[in-house]
Amino acid sequence: MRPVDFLKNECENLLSVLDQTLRYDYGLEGSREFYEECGQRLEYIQASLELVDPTSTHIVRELALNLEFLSELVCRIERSSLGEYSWPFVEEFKEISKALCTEKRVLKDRVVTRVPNVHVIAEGGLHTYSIYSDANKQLSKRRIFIIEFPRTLKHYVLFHTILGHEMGHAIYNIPLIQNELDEIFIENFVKASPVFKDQPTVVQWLYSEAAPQEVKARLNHLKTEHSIDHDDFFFAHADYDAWLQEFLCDFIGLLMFGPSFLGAVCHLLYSNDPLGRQVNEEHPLTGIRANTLLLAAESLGYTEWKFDQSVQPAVDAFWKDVYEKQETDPWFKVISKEAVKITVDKLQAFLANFPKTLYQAPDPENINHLVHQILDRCPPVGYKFTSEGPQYRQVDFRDIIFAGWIAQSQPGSTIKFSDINRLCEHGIMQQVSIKKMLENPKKPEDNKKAA
Amino acid sequence: MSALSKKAIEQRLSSTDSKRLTVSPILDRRQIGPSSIDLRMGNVVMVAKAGGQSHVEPAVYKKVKDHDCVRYKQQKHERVDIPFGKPFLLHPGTLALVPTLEWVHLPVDLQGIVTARSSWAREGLNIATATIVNPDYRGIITLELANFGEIPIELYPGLRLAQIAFYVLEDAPTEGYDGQFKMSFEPAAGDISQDDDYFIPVKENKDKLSVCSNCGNGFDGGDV
Repeated sequence: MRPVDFLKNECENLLSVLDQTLRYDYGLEGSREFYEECGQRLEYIQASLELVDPTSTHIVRELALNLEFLSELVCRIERSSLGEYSWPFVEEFKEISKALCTEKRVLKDRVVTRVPNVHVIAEGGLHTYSIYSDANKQLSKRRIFIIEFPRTLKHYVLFHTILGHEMGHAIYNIPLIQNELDEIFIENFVKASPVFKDQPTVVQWLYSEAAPQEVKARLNHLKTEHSIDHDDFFFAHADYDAWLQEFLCDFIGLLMFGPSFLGAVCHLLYSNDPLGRQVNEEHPLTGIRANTLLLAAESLGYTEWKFDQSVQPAVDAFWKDVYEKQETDPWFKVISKEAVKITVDKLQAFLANFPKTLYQAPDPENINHLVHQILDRCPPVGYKFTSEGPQYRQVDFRDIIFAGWIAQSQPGSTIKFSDINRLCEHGIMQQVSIKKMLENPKKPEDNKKAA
Repeated sequence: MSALSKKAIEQRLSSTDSKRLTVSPILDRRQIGPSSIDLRMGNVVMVAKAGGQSHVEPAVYKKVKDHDCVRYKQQKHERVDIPFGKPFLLHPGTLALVPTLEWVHLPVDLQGIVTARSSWAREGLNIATATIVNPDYRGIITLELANFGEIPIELYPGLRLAQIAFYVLEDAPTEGYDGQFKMSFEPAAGDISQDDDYFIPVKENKDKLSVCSNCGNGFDGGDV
């Protein structure tokens, strides 16, 4: 999907949310002025997106910013309640959050287990995926996590995998986990990197002659408009530690959600940074993040997974789409494959201590079944009815999402991306009911009798 | 038109050709009765809101992007999500739209008829109408629940509330269903004025649209 197509799609989503703001009356002033004003602005953005040349990246970015601001305006007057986000996804994600963030403390003669308090809200904006975790929990016993979704992407479970990255930030606030993560990441990734090992070398690389024109232009802008030069780049503008943490959290997201995370990153990050070359305060350049994630995916063997021949062309198309996002300019090749492999392997071993956290290589037969259900416009679940009667399987909700990404890459398929997301969301909900049934010890016997 | 028996239903469910019937998932084989399949309650409830409007107004469906019309439609129902294990209390006299847990796709030669399960009907739970599901329909089925009893009924997602029977159409159509509810994921109010425009007078004045004929007041006395 091109950035301009994503934005057009998002306009439709925002229009739907704008209509839904009228479910309730807000304030004494009534809602007419707000509704009509936002509607006019949205129409203007939609009309501009129809006319814009998709390769005019600066105009596309400008429209993306306008749309993002409008989305925030609209969603601020919306309520954040159970109905405003995808609860089937949230319920599954909460399971991982609790497994990962439950803290155990030894108090004298006993061990106290503290399960975090997880809340969910919906906010405006195109990329409002975040998890607030209270770093200072002196005031309470249980840590509070607030998971935030973009309201307009409520049903887009394929994008929700981005929350794996946010979970990385959240657990980094837990001191014991932070120590472990730092030890793995700094020793194996940061110190091994010829560029990211310290601030001066990053600055030297950024301000080098070989840097792309877009980077030079941005740095020049910082110098002329804000008097920020290479000497104070990390002091007055960007945050070196935040940049590093982004790489770490990308690895955690990838390990948690597998290739689906990569699919979501490539779509969402490039939607407001089409070239992936923006110099940002808290995030390293998107192009480098994409390259690093691809190296990690390769080292984890994701790109080598083989599936049924009816599904493999779609899997190949998915990877082709991801590889197209790879930044080929040699200036971006500053991450070593070996460093990525060692870091990812050690992170994987560390996260294996927390149940349900790691995404396991999927059963090809499961993926084959799920993808074909989606292409048949049926919610993907571990169920089929054969001449023997109903057959059930436990399916990880992340397999359902991965099947969604594969289905959206299926050559020649006409099924809409929004429908794929809703089918997957519905499938996750239905799979919960299958899980409940399978976990009921009486049920299989009953089914057998009935057969 | 003939009804499908249990054997015929199971054959259709396991079929791999164009005559395949999809009801997914069937959590218990006992859901398949002698001539029907039981349907379970899904996780969304759309409760018709009392006091939102003075009356049902077909004319509002004709204006698509008008503030008052959108507001009217949006305020008709209160949407409630109910995860598994959580109850929903259906009060006497209340109308609620709920989706089935099952996703249904009918082949072009089958029609479905949805009715309440008699055990629930005896408790006062009524599926307001016998819903016809058209050939080639795909999606959840919306159940229009009403409590005709005198005490509230507690409902849980996953309960078997309704049943669907299937009939083979004579001279089956070659084209599929293309109605307003195709590929439904959750209940929604229908367009009651669709294709009947010529019977509904034009009401240009927004105030007329919103004023109650009994009391003369606007719906909310607010920004009408």
